[in-house]
Amino acid sequence: MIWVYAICERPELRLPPVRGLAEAPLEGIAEGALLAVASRHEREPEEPALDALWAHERVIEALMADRAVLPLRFGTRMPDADAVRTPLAARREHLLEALDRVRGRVELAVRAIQPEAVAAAPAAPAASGREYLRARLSIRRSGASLHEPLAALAVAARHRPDLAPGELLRASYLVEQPSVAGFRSAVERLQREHPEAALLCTGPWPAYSFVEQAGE
Amino acid sequence: MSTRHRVAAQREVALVDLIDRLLAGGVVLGGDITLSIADVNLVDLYLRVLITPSEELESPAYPPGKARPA
Repeated sequence: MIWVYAICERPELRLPPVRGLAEAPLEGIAEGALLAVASRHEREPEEPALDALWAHERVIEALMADRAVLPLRFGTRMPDADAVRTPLAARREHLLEALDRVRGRVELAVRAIQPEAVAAAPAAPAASGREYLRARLSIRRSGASLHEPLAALAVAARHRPDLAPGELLRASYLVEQPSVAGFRSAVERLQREHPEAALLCTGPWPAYSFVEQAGE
Repeated sequence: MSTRHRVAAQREVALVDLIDRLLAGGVVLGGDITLSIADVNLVDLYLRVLITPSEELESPAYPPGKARPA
């Protein structure tokens, strides 16, 4: 079977010298202007799941060094190279547009939690419906007051509505590469302005949260 | 928070953010999407990462540059 990591542009470029899952060598499968990057396996790779996650991520990051890359959903397996080429040809336009959207950009993840609310979990039941609604509204407002200034610095932004208890915000920002440092400074500034919340920023990541539609 | 705990916490956050993205984001090209590698269900792993101090997880193979404090 073939494990697919990413779709990228410029098939003429050499693949980076990193290995894939279970130390397998990388292989390019070209279809016109698109290149799928994959590795071949006789059987399901027997690799600890955490290692597999980072191996997948490492391949994509190495590709990002010199080309635009669409990361694939983790776990994408195809029976053979033709099965990879078929969707590349069928969705060519969508994939090329998505590459244009992510070129020179990276994803930053921001999570905001209320440490006290997490420590106090399970949350005391709200005394009334009105109180419950007020609490929900207050979380939404806090989340928005953190999200909006960050979204203004990004090319695109998405935040998840399904927050865990104590979470105020779980969001992804697509940021121009040269703006990453400025974005981080903005997170630090927000942290100073909002001592009641703990802000956590990780990345830069490949644009996982901004490419889903490209495959459809 | 001690330095050691702070580093561990950052590592956990980076891992949770990575799993969040790998399992819910990315292009879906069709084919067979597996969430099980070496018999570990990644959804279970995700939940375990959320509740387990990261030094107790086996071999995170974690790139040190990834998590930066906000």
